[in-house]
Amino acid sequence: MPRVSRTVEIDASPDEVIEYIADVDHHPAFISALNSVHELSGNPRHSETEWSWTFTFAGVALQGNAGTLDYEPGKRYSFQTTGGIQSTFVYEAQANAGGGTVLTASSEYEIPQTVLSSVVDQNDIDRFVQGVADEAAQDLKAIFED
Amino acid sequence: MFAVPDWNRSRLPLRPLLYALPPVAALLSYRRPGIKAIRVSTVLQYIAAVEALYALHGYRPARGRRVVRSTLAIALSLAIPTTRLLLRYDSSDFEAMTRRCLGATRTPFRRSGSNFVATIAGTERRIRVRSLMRGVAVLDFTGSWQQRKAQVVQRLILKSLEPLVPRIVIRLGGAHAKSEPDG
Repeated sequence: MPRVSRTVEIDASPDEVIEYIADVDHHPAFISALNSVHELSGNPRHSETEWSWTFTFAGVALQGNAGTLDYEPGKRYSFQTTGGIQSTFVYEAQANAGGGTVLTASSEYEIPQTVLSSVVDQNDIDRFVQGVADEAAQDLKAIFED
Repeated sequence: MFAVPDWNRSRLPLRPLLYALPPVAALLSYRRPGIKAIRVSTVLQYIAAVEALYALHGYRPARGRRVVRSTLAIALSLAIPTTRLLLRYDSSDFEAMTRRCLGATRTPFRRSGSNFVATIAGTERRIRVRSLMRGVAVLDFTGSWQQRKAQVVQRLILKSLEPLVPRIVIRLGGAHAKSEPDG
């Protein structure tokens, strides 16, 4: 299963960063290809909570569901998606020397068949995934620091 | 507020009720070919379309307005396959959306007349979202929107607005919005 990961330093406390990320309504703000999060069934910090999403993967519109796997305040938030994309997202935070956060965001995913059949060049898919990951890291930093 | 049945999972026949209502019948040309019944996601949103229909047709029911409103709302909820066909959104819908976007990007803001004044990297930038007839939303962004955080805000607003209206007009630099009186 392909995996993508980014580490970014953010000038905010780990508690603040993980608290923000664990509110999945915020995800369209920093995941550029995520169009919407809706039908949230409850508090996304609780493991039984589920929601729906729409995502444009390399130009292909996908939709599916997701559910929280794990939430540890100030340390970790993870969730799993099903439907259009099978994937697992994990966000892990550690304090740095200056009181800020070293955030590592990683995702394991299966490239959907609909994407494979629509996108001719595999390199386009790789570029798309790497681009979304780069943007997400930089956008999260911008959201907290600017 | 009247009670509206939850028809989210229902599939009901369209024609008998629709053809009995002249303003609604006018909308039938918007229907997608072949659609016999439509799944309803939210009835309340369609009330805005009902109000727009009233305006378009000059239809002002003097009596029994509430009954007519609810009947039309339900009929429209069956008739229109997507909220994209809404003719006009109330500005409060756009305001609520803008407010949510600014909150989700941790952007401090205040209201100034019909503008939102967002503070990004110490600089104030104005945003105004307004609706026009026939499903056009106009977005005025004043000030510089080149900085990354500003682009994150702008992109989220566009992303949130896109499902609501068929056409979005974006005006950068926004002399029009600048000329809006404060207060």
